Amino acid sequence: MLYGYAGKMLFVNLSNDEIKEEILTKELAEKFIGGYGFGAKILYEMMPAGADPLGPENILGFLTGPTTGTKSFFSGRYTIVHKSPVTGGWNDANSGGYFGPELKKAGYDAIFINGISEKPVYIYINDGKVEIRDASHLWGMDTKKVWSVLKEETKEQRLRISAIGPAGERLSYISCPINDGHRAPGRGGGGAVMGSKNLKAIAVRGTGEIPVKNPEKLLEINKKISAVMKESQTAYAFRTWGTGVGTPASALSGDSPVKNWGGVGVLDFEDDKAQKVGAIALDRYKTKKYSCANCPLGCGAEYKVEDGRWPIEQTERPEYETAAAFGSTCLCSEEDALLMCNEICNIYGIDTISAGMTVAWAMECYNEGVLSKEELDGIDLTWGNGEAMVALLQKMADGDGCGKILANGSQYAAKYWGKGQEYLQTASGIELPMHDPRFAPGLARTYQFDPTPGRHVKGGIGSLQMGGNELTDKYVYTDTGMMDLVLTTNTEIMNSSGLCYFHALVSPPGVQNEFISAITGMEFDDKESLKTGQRIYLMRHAFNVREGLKPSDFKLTRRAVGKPPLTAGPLQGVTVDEELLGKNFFESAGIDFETGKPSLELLQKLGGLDEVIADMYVKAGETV
Amino acid sequence: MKIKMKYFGLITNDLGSEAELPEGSSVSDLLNHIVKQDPNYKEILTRATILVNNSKVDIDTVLKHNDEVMVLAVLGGG
Repeated sequence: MLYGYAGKMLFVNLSNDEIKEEILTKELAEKFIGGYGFGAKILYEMMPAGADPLGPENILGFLTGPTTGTKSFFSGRYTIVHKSPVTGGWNDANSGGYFGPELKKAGYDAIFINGISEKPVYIYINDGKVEIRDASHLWGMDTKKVWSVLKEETKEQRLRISAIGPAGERLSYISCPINDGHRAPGRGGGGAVMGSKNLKAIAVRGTGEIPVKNPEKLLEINKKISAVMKESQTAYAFRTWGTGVGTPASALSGDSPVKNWGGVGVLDFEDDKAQKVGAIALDRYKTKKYSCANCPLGCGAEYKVEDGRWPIEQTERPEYETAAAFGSTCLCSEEDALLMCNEICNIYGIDTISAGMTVAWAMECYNEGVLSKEELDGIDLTWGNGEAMVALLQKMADGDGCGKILANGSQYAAKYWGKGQEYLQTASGIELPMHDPRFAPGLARTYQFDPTPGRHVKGGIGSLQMGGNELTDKYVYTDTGMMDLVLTTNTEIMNSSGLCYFHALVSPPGVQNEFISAITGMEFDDKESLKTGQRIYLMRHAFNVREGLKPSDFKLTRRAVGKPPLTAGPLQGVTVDEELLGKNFFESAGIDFETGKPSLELLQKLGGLDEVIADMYVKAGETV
Repeated sequence: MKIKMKYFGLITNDLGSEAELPEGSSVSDLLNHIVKQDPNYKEILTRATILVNNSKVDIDTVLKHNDEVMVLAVLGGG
């Protein structure tokens, strides 16, 4: 028995309906922990280079980690992995809620799906029994409706699903699966990958127990966290108002982008506007708190919107990223428009970050005369116009008119129309998230060079700087490599173990390693975290190298690094040396910046990377 | 002298819209004044961005009567 794991992985080929189980090996568990650690290893082994992201060879994985399904606090997350139709490279994205724990309790640490079904299907897993079922009657349904229909159909009221909405069915590059009605592994086009396979949903019900090596120790760790949280103002704010409590502060400080990354909060989105889309102001809509599985923080909430132009009987509190994307980035302070955009994204299955950013790009193009009103189907997309924002997003969700083009994101739209490239704010083609590298410069390295580009949840020194922590002057870019590496590998472990990013904001240091040790029985210390984190990072990195992507192929648009710098506000004059940050990181990580090759010595020392050695060294004819 | 105060982000308790400080006080003095009002915010204030009249300043900056100060305590994620 492997402590901390269900012990099995499921492989489903939708082209021939083949369903296979494989035993999770001790070696895979120890060397790659779980989540995208497993995902990177399996996809590297099983997928050919150059696979079409929307073709049968792309493998879509849904994965859990060792904390998932245990009593560990903050353990409600699962991860999806696949090749991205947006970036053409590796993709991972994770989500909270209850789907991950349910999947693992149903008997599987992971599901990998390849092939393409001839007709719409869903995969139903109930305590180890797996079926591929017809989903023709579900096609076209939104993500909330399909959940309620499947609960009835399976007669399982505690059913959890991860499903695409109509956007994923239409292969929108900014679409994503949604679980629990509003939680999303949002980024990188996972909805389109699922839609390309004619896979409407994965529905799971599980009652199994996950074996834990030292359950008493696990509860002790939880208690330790509770004690710290009791005294934590951060925990209080998160618990009371959620992540959106920070929206106004971020807009005004320069943490969040303003006016498609070209504006200044204190001048273009003043405090009275910023506060309108903050969670404290929106709290009047709250009807109920929402917590993910085993979360003592509970940063979610249900809302009822009775006033405004778009009343909604039951919806959810927008996350910070959503509020910033449709708020400060579009200069929109109309709260009913924000809430409606959030709801549209949730029910159609759309990534709120890429959607808000694509609208912001179109707004700038329209206001600068690059896109005409006719090209936008008559929508008067002036800055901050909430009505226009909702109308455009609805078109994107419906795949209607200009919305069909914009539903593939800003990069696709700029290419399609052959203009507006100068207003793109992207990393390797994916829209940037809502933390500005001019405020937290370390993010320039992760946004540009992480194997999953354009993410704010990939650790590194930027993750400290985001919260205002400055161990050294953040605008000095020398000697950043080792600290950046350690903080990145730590995050590789967090994401792979199934823990939530926010645990680190309200927990005593070290609980991540303690959880893994208590649950699995491994002696998982800082040294092991660094080594295992490096291995997982290199596996994701190697996937991209095999696709022909070297570090120099990863591009970040210029405004995000202050080129040119802003001329006013708190970030006035800031320019980030993202190339130096990248070179420092790759040097410390043992990766050649020019070729993308990790050193042979490092690969051999870390172990578990034989396929990478074979591809990068043996096949290249080098002596090993 | 009177300083006009606005608080955002993790500072959610009502600390008032004005601070009364001796002439010649610096941003650092202002932060100490806030900590006296609510000691729970001591750690958060070390990480907060402080704007005086919409510009980012360091803690040695000397304040003037009627300066407008924003204390922006970002979450660090989300």
